[in-house]
Amino acid sequence: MIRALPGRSAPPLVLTAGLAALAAACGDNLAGPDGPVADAAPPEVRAVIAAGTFMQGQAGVLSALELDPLRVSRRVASSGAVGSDPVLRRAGRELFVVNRTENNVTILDAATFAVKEQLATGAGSNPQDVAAFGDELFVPALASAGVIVLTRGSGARQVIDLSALDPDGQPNCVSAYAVGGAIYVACGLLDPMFVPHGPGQIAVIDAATHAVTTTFPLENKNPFGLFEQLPAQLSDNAFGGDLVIPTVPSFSDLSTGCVERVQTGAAPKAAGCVVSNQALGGFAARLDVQVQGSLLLWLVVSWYDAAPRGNLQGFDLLTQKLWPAPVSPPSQLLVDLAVCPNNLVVVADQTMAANGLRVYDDLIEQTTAAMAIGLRPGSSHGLACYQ
Amino acid sequence: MNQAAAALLISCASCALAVTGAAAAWADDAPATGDGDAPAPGEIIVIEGRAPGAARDRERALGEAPFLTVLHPDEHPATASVADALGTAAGAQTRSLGGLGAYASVSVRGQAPGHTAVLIDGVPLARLAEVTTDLGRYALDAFGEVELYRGAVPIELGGAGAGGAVNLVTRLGRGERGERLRASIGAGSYGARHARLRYGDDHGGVLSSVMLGYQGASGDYTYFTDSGTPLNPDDDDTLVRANNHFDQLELAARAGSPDRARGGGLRLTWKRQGLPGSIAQPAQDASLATAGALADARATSRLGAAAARHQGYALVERQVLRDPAGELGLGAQDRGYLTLAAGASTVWAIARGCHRGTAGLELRGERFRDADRGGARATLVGTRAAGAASLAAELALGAAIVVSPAVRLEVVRTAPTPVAEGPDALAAVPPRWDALGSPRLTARARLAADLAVKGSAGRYVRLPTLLELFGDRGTIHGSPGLLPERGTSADTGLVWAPARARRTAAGELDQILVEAAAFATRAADTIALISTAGFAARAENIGGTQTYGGELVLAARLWRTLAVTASYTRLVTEQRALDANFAGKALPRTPGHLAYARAELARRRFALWADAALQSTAYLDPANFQRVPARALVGAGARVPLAAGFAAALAVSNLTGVRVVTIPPDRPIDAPTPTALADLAGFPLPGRSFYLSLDWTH
Repeated sequence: MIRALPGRSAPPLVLTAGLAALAAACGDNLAGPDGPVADAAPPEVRAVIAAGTFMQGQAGVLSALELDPLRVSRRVASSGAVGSDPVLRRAGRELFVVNRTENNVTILDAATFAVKEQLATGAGSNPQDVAAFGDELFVPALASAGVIVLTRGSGARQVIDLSALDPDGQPNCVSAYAVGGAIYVACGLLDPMFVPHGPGQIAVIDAATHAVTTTFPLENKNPFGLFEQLPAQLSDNAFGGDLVIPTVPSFSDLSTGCVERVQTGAAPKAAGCVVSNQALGGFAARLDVQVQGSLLLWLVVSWYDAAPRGNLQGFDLLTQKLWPAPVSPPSQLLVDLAVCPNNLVVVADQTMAANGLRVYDDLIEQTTAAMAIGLRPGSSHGLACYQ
Repeated sequence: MNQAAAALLISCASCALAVTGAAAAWADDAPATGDGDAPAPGEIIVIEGRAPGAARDRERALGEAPFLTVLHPDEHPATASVADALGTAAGAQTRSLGGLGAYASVSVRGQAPGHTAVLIDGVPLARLAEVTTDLGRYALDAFGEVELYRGAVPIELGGAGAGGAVNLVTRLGRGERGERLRASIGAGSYGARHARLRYGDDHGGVLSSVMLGYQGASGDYTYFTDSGTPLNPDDDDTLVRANNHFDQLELAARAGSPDRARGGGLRLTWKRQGLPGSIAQPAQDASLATAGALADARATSRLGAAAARHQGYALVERQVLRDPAGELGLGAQDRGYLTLAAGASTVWAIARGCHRGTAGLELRGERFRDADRGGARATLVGTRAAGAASLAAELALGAAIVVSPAVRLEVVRTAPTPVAEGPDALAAVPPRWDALGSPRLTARARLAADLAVKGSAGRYVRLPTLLELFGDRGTIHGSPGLLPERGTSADTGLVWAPARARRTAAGELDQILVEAAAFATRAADTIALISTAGFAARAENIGGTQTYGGELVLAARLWRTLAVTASYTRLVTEQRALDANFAGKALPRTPGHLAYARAELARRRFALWADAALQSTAYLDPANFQRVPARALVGAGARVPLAAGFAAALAVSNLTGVRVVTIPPDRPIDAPTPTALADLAGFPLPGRSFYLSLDWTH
């Protein structure tokens, strides 16, 4: 069932007007000279989701959700833009689809979904994420020596060598995030059997020179997921501007691992856990930050008992408390989420017989059934919501 | 034809036509000599201008209830695999992961490959570890013929699936031209080569056959790649396939009575192959080695009026998968797989007038072990034990109609060994029990000597594999509550095969065969691996499928010189999936139209031939987002007799050199995109290739 949402009122806790600009920037993985440009008339808030079948060579889908009224437009991008195992990042007015199986990064116009560019990362490279800086894309690739740098407008491809981080020469880098002029890269240090053999490593790269400025270990093994950035207004309690990334040393032993914090700025370092996997009852498959109203870290938490499970949880960044109960019911198998600028939380439900997008607002689900997107959602970072 | 059937034939003249078919059906493996009329022991038959394709098996086509295609090695290039040959048959589609020696499976009437049982000389191959069997690893020329049962399967062939069964039959006795010895060597494009020696003879009522064969290729053909960017033509390229080589050896020895009811054999196979990976994820160092042995023995006995056939068999297969660099995407692998299987069956038949009843019992045990040779992961071991009882009757209704109800009941126990490490170490895992019933009904009416009408309906089951049930203790979680895949299929059609030549305006037409069939199949509880969070996957029942369509086979010879055979399949498919995104959409990789045609101009022992395989557009994916373009692959060849029993043959495959096909745009916002010619996206097929072979018969 689809119905119109009531008109969005101002959030209960209205912060300063400056937060609006922060909100617009939140979720971006963009730095450098070409920052977001404000439109005269802000477009509608919309969510987009990329999903694939995980079958190599098969087409994926990019679908868009309009929020008022709720309506899904399926297959809004050209065939070939989204592959079988996509990861989605938004940066300014562009969407970056990292097609992990097809080994490319496809750049789409975030408003029209027209393909602007498609760049190869190399056969077998297994790209995981993308951070944009100027005309360069920094792509951590699981089967490379570190980070592949693509130059827009050309087929140029070079590798920033991080092989020294891992004795086997492949540090298995999984995420990259641009903060100012630095690219933060998380690497998993997996052995050839995909088993982590040491704490995850963070490399900080000067985006302009490609020089590795520092490296340091995380507290836990296996960074598993992608970086998100906490809002700058949290600086009073030392979280502000930090990056967070889930770590999953074991998928069966939840006494280890957490959502781990990486301090950015002049002295980058690992800064401990935000919330443990034990407290979550699983591992964080997707994180996103709400900066309007309450300052929240939203999490889709996954675990496995007799079958795969996934729910929506909230973590109050001001009080640093996990909400006592999940927001979503056990009948939903959530795999992904995105927080919209108007504070709606869009989640992807993988339940076999009723899969698609659901929308939550103030702990209340606004949809009465999942809204199909054309494929069963599967990616844990395939959703973005923006204006 | 056995004695009981022959006696029945004599004593019941009033239903002679009906029982002719019944007798053929009771011959649980048809004579490997091809025609229904087996040569008398010691008799040498020199066939001048053999019948084309399906017409060679006229009696079987008319007299056996299921729709049966018999494939003969001499109608295919010397390097053809069983999968290659099956791809030319009506109702069948081959899906190969590349060129010579690559993994290949067959889909019959749109069913998933797991719904088609694979047997060698009537012995079912183990399916505890894998859904289906790699038919690309069997050289067609190593067998006398390949039987493709497209619909219902004779009860003697056991628990087949909704997609019928494929039975690979070893030739016994002398060759088709009466030769005792046949040697063949050849070489061709991309390092293709083979050498094969066969000896077969009649030793006073016992037919023998020994075959030793080698086949290999370097597989270094060029292929098109879009470099992973279908929307960016600037980086398109042509590369050479690497790590695509294979070598295989096969030794088969068999002896038995002319009706194949008594005898036995041993087949040893060895294959070593590179695993080149896909275009997107090429693998330079991954490899797979397979060694297997299959032994079987058959005997007959009588008890009063009942005649019995007994069969026992044992199968061993050892595989080693090496992927030291983790190029296949599953992490580094050094795994050893061992499959053991053994079974026995006894089938008893008793005749009453024109009718006959058959009862059978089967016992079968399988054991599969998946061991990490480096000891990094726990060993997975599973067993499956099964017992089955089958009952069938052949009821002759008047002179022309035979109705055959049959039922097979099977009880199966599947059990894994407990995990040896981790949080669930040594925890007991309860075995799984399945009780399966497979009723079927076939009917045939021999309306005239040259015309038969047939039909069948039945229910079939595919049990989940060990991996689907219990996972691999790594990237695949177990689903012990999985339901078996079930399918119901039905077909009907007619065969017209006049024995006499017909005069037409164009000239004399003989060896005519026309077969037309309509079919429908509905499968439920389809099993698929579904990826979940954490890069893990889990098998789930995802709904069902529905297929229906028609098949047409035409064969004839003009002027006793030009033989033409053609097959056409119309296939309509629909997913009946739980996932609303797939429901109502066509099954992936099932073209709506499949056609194959072959023309052979033969004079004495000179022959020129050409063939073409066509398939219409299909969808690559279950959501029907991406199309697989239509294609036509043309081949040609010639055979020239030399002196002293020598003959040379040249075969050209993919004559037009197609290597790139264009995916048509699906919507206005899409653009046509070139892609490599492939059965499965990402696994390119070779372009034009030549093969020259020399054979000698004596």
